[in-house]
Amino acid sequence: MSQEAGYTPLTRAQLSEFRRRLAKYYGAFFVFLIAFTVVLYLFERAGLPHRFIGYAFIFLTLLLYAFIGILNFTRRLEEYYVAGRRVPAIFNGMATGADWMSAASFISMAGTLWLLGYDALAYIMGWTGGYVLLALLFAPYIRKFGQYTIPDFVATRYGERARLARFVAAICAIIVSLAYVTAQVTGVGIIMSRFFGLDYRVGVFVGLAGVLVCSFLGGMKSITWTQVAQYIILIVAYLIPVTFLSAKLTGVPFPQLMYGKALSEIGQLEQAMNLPAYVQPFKQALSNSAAISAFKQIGITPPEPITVKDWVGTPWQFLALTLCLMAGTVGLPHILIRYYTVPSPKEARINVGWSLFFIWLLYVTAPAYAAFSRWEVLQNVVGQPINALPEWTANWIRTGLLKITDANNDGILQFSELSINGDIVVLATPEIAGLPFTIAALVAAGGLAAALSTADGLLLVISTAVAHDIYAKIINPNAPYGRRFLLSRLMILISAVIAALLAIPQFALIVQLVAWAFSLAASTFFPVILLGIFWKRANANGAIAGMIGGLITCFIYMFWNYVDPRFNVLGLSHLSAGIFGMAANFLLTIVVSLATAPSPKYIQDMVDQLRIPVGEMRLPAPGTAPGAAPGVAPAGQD
Amino acid sequence: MMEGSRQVETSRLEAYWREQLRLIITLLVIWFAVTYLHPPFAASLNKIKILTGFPLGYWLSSQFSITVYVILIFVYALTMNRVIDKKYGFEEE
Repeated sequence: MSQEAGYTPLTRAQLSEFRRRLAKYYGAFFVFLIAFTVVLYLFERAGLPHRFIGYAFIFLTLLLYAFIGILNFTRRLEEYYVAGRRVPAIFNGMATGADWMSAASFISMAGTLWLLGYDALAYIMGWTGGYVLLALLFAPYIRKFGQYTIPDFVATRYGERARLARFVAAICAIIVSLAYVTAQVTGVGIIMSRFFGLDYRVGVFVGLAGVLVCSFLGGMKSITWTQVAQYIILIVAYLIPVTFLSAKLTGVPFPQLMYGKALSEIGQLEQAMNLPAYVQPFKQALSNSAAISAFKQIGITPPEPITVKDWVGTPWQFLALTLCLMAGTVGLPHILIRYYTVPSPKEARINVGWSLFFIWLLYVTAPAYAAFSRWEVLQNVVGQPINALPEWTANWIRTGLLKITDANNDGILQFSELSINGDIVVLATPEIAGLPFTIAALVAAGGLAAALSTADGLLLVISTAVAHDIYAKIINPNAPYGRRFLLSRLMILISAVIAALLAIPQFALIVQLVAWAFSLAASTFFPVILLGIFWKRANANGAIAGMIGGLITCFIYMFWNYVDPRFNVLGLSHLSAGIFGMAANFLLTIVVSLATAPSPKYIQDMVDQLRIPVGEMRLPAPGTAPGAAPGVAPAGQD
Repeated sequence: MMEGSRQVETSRLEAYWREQLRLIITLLVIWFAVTYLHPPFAASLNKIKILTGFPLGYWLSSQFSITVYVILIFVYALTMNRVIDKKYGFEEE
């Protein structure tokens, strides 16, 4: 029942014809996006109020996503779960880029760099370097395995205890993805309220509608093709403002190269004002201020504020966070399933290259945003008379993202009298660069695209974990396709509503959950999938013990350090808790596997098959698996 | 006869897997080096300025390492697809 009858893969000629057609559609879409922006700009000059320009952008982009969603309506499992496995590498690269880059990457990354300086580069390196591991260690093997979900992989590889392994993996996938999707919905609400003047709660539901139109009808198929469009919108929106700002400040429209000048100017201004150096590494102290604000919100008397400075100046936190984010990247189910959707393992290898290239475009630009706006603030805002600040500051003081207080009443703004919310860095750049409001609206549409595309992918993971893994594979293996679809769509709706309900109160804890999702993914999936491919001796007992032990270890370090940072190892914060969960998972999987009997031969033969990049996998039919498994010999497939 | 050809087949698969592992390990060593060797020295490296004024330590993390990552993946994919797979007869059918 796992392979749908009558669904044949495309031939090579059909695939390249498909690729040409896609290039034509998305090329036309790109031209249309630019033309639409220009037309709105002309309307803006003719006096169209800003509000309408904003609405035009939301309306048009949501309409487009709905259009792609409806166009890709499907009743085929193969299309609903894995987009028919015919997505060409370059387009899947863009879809992965959009899937990957969330509201956090689009809006908050540059702000985090602004606030933390060098230390925030751990995110830049961690969230890109993980793709090297994904390419070398996971992607081609996952594609060769060729099922639908990550619990599918875990359950088949650790087939001696398929049901338990699948259940644990499905629960892990749901925990990781639900934490992540709630943050995306929060991001949608924030963008809607800041840019389009909608109420935050209304924004959440408008955004939700946007997510549902993409994923409800066509599953992975419509999500994929919407995500490609969303990638184009988000990257254009990200690159335009900072390119103009670079041209304005340095005369060269190439921000990625020119922010070096900004960094050296910042250095001189800092020296003149006696400020700590922006590029100085490892300045972060451990504190429980985040825990305190989270506790306050839910009405609990917070613990004492604690700050631990012992480990400031050491690189451990930076190195551990980088590793944790990398391993987490590889363990995130919504990214891993993208590699089921390409036509072959060879295409999957190239695919990861394109994925990272498209992500790289944004990540190599984010530090430029931070550097240019820091230069602007140090040069034209700090040290100025408070009643003669640059024009752009007024709008953002009104939103509360920028706060100034003249503490010493001298009428001049000192650096310490300025408080900045990191999100302003990307959002205010169009204004700092003197660009029209149309570009600011485009940036908002880009942020919306980033949040929606990530939310889509996550909702699909949650719904398939329930409908496919828990219901169809564990509870009722004889469920007809129709009922699986119904349940799958119902689950998308239910998890979207749950995410919205969790996002409405805007708990600080929820934002924290995203950072933790990486630790959780690193502690659960990364070790068992890696060992599953590269170490035949790993068995089901080991993997189940590993996943559960990893999850528990990770949770313990996370919460303990979160409320009391005096509990730490080498000064690592709760953000890098995944390091310990991952180590525990590896250790348990290896020790328990060695202490119990090896996996049966048919599973070891399956691992052999995984390692060959051509041919279809021959999996033992469910039920007949244990014991003799005819036709799974690894040899002679090509 | 049957047994003999299966042995040839098995040793071909083993050689293929060894060569794959060799490539993966080589690239992972580079990945490790560009990720972990420079950050501990970022403070001293920052005293050197390069290009348009980037402090070297900051530049290595913000541009150099992440660009090497992209290159590493393409090197892996092209070597596997065009050289190693071909050598062992695993070309696209």
